[in-house]
Amino acid sequence: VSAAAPSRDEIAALVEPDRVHRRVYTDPAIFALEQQRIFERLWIFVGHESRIPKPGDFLRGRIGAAEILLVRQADGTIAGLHNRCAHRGAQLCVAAQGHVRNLVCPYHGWAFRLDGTLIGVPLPDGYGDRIDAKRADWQLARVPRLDSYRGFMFASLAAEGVSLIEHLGGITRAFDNMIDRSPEGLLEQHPYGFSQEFRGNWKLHMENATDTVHPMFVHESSVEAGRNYDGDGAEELPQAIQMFRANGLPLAEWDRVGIHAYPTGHVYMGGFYRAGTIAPQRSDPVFDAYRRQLVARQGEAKTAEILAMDRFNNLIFPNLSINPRFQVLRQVHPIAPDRTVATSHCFRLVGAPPEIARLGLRFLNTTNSPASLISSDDLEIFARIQEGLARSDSPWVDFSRGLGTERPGDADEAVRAPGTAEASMRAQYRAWLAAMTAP
Amino acid sequence: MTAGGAFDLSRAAPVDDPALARELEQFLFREAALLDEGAFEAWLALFAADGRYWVPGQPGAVDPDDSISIFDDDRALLAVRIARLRQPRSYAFEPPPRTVHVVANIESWQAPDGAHLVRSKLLMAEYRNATRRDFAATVHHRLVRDAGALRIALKRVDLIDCDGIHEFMTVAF
Repeated sequence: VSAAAPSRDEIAALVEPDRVHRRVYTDPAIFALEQQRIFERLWIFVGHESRIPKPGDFLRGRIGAAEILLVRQADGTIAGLHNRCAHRGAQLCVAAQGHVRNLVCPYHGWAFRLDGTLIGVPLPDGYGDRIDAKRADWQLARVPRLDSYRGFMFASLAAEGVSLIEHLGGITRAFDNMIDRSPEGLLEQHPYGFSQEFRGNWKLHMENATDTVHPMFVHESSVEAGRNYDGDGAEELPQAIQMFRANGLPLAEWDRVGIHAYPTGHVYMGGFYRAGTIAPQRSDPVFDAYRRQLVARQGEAKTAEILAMDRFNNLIFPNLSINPRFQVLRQVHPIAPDRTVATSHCFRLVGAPPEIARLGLRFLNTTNSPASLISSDDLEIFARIQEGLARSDSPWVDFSRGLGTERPGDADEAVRAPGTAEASMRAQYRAWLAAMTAP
Repeated sequence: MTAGGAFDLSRAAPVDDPALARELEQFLFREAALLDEGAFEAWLALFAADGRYWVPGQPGAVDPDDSISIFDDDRALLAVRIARLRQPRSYAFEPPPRTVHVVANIESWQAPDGAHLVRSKLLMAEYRNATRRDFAATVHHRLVRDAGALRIALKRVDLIDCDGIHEFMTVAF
């Protein structure tokens, strides 16, 4: 039995300037509507083109409940196809990525070209003259819109809407910065990533990623254990230990970390690296050589600017987060109101010394492995929040911290606020409400 | 250290001394018991000073510097990991999981450098917060002698679903 979809007025009543109703996390009808109005309309990241360099290479991606294939064409372009046979609906590719000559359905042998057009149907006699390879319903369904931002592929299941570049707006600078850190201006996605399931709503992860008040509480165990680390007098702390300790910044320091939000609901934290300590503390020959490579390509001033860019956890509404400095990407995939899978990947800076790539790998391991000392505590707390919100005693979730501290941001940024303000969540819910009540 | 080369069985000789084979087996059983008892500090003491614990996050991984890892810890990081579980507000470990590590199919070799190479199969059952889950893995131990006692130079755990979807984990395999 499916309940009637909530009306736009009903949805609008769930989001107030400083609080949201618990139903946005728990109600299956709201969850279903999010699939339609957010995941099936907005631009959703589906994969990086470095995974499919050659014609015939494919990569499976997901948009909400839909599963799509990115397929490299003979002419170098990329097609976005639903991973579903036009005949009886069987999934065509089951590997996460791979290579094919054609797309052939295992069920009745229907064969499609890399662009989804029908090559032929075995035993066509039974169809009379109904088979018409030119008709769309005899071809693999195409994703209505597919676009790339410098290799990051996004798809939209809506035929109409703002362009990808409009949707991304100023947050493109985070992608640019990750790419510019490569001495060749190229990224290569590592073939494997992590998939972590948690027992909470997908939005909890997006809220948490720029919540600067939680680390000193949620991550107390790894902050304290990291502080007690005995480095045996080593010159520089291991990267993981630096990361554990960085979560232990005092509140005043967190306030110096700025929250920046765009009108489209994208958010980032500025000044985290300055305030934290996840940065090389001494000159080292590998980093110096890498820096010289960048100078050769970009010049001294631009190189200094690239390396100094201090934007942590760049959230791209609705479900993507990237960290240019460590070339790491995380995406949350809603499974049910109280179930989410977070996938995470890292990228190699093509041309950079292998030691630089290892920093990204270790950053990914330290923050996103299922055994991470950091994210395990976050995911545990998400489960506890979800448990709490499942009870109906108090309907509201408060996001009023620092209300009124929002100021107009620089250039195209809508909002700038002190780090500990819940301005990020408020900005995300403004975008959520706009998408959920759009005609 | 490339962990792939550390387990080069092609140049190793099978252990045919029953007493040695028994000693290696007992070492693995004792190690599993310490993990099940939550005696993580005693488990850590089984590692050599330069010992390493590695659980690759992708199948066929050769080098932790070039692949993603669920665990990739030297002794110092393992010590931090364990100290973190002992913190009063270690939420992911509250309540601590109960585990049973079953170690089976044990085979052992002698490497040219004198190290003992042991391959085993692991089934680990875990219970926490009304949820049971299971892990299955092929495990390689590289064991060395320190003042006569066996110590872990490298323990590599290859989960059959290393690249699968996991909820967070706190107890070592």
